[in-house]
Amino acid sequence: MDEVRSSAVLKVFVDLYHKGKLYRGKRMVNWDPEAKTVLSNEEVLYANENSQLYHVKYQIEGSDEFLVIATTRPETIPGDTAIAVHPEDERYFHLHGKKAVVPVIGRKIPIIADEYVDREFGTGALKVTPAHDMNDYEIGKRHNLEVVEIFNEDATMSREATIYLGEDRFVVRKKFVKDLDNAGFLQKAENYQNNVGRSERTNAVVEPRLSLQWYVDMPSIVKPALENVMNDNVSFFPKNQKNIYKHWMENIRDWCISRQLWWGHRIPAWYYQDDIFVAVNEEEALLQARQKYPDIALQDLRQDEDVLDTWFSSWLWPISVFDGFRNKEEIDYYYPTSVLVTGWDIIFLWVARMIIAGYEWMGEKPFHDVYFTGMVRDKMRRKMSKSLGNSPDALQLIADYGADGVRFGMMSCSPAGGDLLFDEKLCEQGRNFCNKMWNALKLVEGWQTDESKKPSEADQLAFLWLSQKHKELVEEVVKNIDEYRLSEALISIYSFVWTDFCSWYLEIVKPQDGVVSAETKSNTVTLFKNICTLLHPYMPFITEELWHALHEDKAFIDCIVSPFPEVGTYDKDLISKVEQAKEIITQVRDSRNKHGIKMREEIPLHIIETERSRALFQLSGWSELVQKMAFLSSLSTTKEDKDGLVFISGTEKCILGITLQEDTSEMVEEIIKELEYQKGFVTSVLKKLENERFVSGAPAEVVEREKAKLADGKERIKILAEQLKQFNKN
Amino acid sequence: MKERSAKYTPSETEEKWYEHWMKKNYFSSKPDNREPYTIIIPPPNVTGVLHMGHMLNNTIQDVLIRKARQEGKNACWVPGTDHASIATEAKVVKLLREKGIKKSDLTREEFLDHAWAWKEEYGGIILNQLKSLVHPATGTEPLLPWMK
Repeated sequence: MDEVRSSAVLKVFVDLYHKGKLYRGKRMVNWDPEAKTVLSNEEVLYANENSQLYHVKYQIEGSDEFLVIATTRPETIPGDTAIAVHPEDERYFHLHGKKAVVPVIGRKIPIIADEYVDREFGTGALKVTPAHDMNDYEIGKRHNLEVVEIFNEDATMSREATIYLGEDRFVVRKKFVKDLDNAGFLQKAENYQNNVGRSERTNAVVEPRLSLQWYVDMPSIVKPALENVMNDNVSFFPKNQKNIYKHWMENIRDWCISRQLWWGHRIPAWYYQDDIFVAVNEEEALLQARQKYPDIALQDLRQDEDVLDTWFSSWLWPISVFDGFRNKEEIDYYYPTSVLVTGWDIIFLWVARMIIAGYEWMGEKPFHDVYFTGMVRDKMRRKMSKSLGNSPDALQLIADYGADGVRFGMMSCSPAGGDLLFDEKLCEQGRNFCNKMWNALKLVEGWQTDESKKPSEADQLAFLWLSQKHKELVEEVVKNIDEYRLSEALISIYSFVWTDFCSWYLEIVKPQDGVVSAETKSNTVTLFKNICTLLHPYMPFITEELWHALHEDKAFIDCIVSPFPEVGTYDKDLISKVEQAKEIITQVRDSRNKHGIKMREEIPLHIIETERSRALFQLSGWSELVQKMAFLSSLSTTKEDKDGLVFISGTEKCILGITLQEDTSEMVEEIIKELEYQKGFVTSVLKKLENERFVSGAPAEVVEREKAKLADGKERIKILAEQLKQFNKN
Repeated sequence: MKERSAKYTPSETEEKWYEHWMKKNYFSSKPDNREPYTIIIPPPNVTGVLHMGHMLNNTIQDVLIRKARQEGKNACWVPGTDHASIATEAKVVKLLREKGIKKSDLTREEFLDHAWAWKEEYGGIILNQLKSLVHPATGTEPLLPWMK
């Protein structure tokens, strides 16, 4: 395999060279003086840094006049080969064609006029150092200026600098400023913020340098890669990365691919005199060379000493991992790949280039989707770093909370495209979640079954409800995962398991005597298994463990390969009726708490008869379920109002059959508050519905929903007003 | 009925199932008549240790791969080759310097021998660490393509 990928890289190099899309040229490059290698533009990170702006006086040759220039890099003054002014700058008309003297150094340099100069910056006069500044290099080319390289490859002063030989550039900056000051050439120094480029790898300040390197002609190969991202043939998640991509691709520059290192693919170019022979190996190169020089031998050829940028092999991965440059079988099957999951920080270094390479050599995209993850930050939104000490030891986390706990912790706080605000508490929550399911397993395992026992209607309804709700959950989860909203999907599974399955379902069917009907046990096991297959991708270990524990039969396949639940239809009406049962039960519990009524003291509950309440009672098991879970002595509908404690569930008026002795002023206050709220609500909905633009513009179902809200609100106001009247009568 | 511990013990369970899955060869993939679902793993930074960024990134991929496998797709999760030649070279140069060896005193071949030795020792650390959390396709060890 090693050789497979290596040959891919060399093949691609040779291919581009022969297509005329790859060349060797002497240009200004970004030089990393610490790693002593060239960098691509994408490997240079720019940021504003505090520095000093020095105003330095240059004497005009043969006069007492001085020209002042402003620079942040006085140590490059020994490399100056001109002073440039704007051709229309009246202040300097009289100096055109004259010469200035480089301070301390004494070299005489021409004063030239060039439109690049910004008249507003500093004094409007610019020192030109062609060897060490990208723009100065261009000016130098236009005016045929001398190029004086004053730095060695480690950014110490070279022989040509004539001063401070072998000393570091930043040390020299200080020393030379002192020299300028002592000699009276320094007018002033002021604080200044400038944009400094640093090496992505070593953090060294990048030094522009003139150098002979290999380049890929990018503008000639980017077109299909740009088009197919813009038209979503390759889909980016989140979408806003498309703009960043577009901007980069439309302004793309040639890619410098040679590096002055030893570790990497050595450049497959061989030199003989002034000729270059590019080939996949030295034998091929020799064959090429012999066409021109029939008598030369292998040892006459000299291979390029440099290696290729590591991304020059990485951009081929989607092809080379399947040996796609030589072998059709795997690549035809696996390519294009499904999705690339990566950080946005390597969108240019890697993602864009893979797309370019895919179209160049496969004529097809390398992947259907790209999902850009956010940065991992701490809960205070700070970047994780060694110096802040806020980066947890990943392996310790796994030891403390288990792999599933850590997976839960990370996945539950990574909204699609957003940053992950990591908090160790989330891993703890993940561990607790495992324990919750573990305890549920122990509970269910502990049940004895009785074949002759029939499940109650409430148990049967609970099973129906949770089966339906599981289907609703599956629909939501699949939709979210398809859109890479993995956190949202996990949170909904979590709340289903914790609240619906453990806190509600198991509490409903849990037998007092530890004996359940065989049907209830098997229903419960089915629900539990469905949870395992749905949760498995997120928490694989515990779900595999539970899955095996839940199978009493011998023959079954492992959870890891068991079918993921499929999306299907479900009974929304049934779900909503049981949800209302839950709400009523919760309200009864709250009322007990508020009024000091014991949890298990049985009390009657009446619900005012409406079409809805009749439908609720008609659902098999519904009233039994409410009665059991709310510890009611009786549950019935009533046509007439009764005395008691009133609460509202949905639009249903419910009356708890208890008489209250204590002070009711607090409750009256609460009702008034609620009444005010409902009135405000109704007014806001009314306003919306009176708005012509809303009613005619919004989809019909949205308008219908608003109308339903209005009717509900009015109903609640009516009930609350009656309640208030009741209290006032007392 | 089995005796169950009071609390769930992840370490035992995780090791047990990891070995089981490996034995059953669930992570390998070969072309067949199923629909493929493929993800290529981005390059890790060669800093030597696993950090939260890797964990997040790889967990997301593992979730997607596992779901696809359960959907009956031929799930293929491949690590690419190791990367970051500047970082690797810088690490090796630094290590040699600590031993009193200057890169400039070595030939290209001698230097690459040292780099290889370093790679052997530390190169696979991240992938190995990740194995306690997620499971890349087997049979594809981290590779160094330009070497024989």
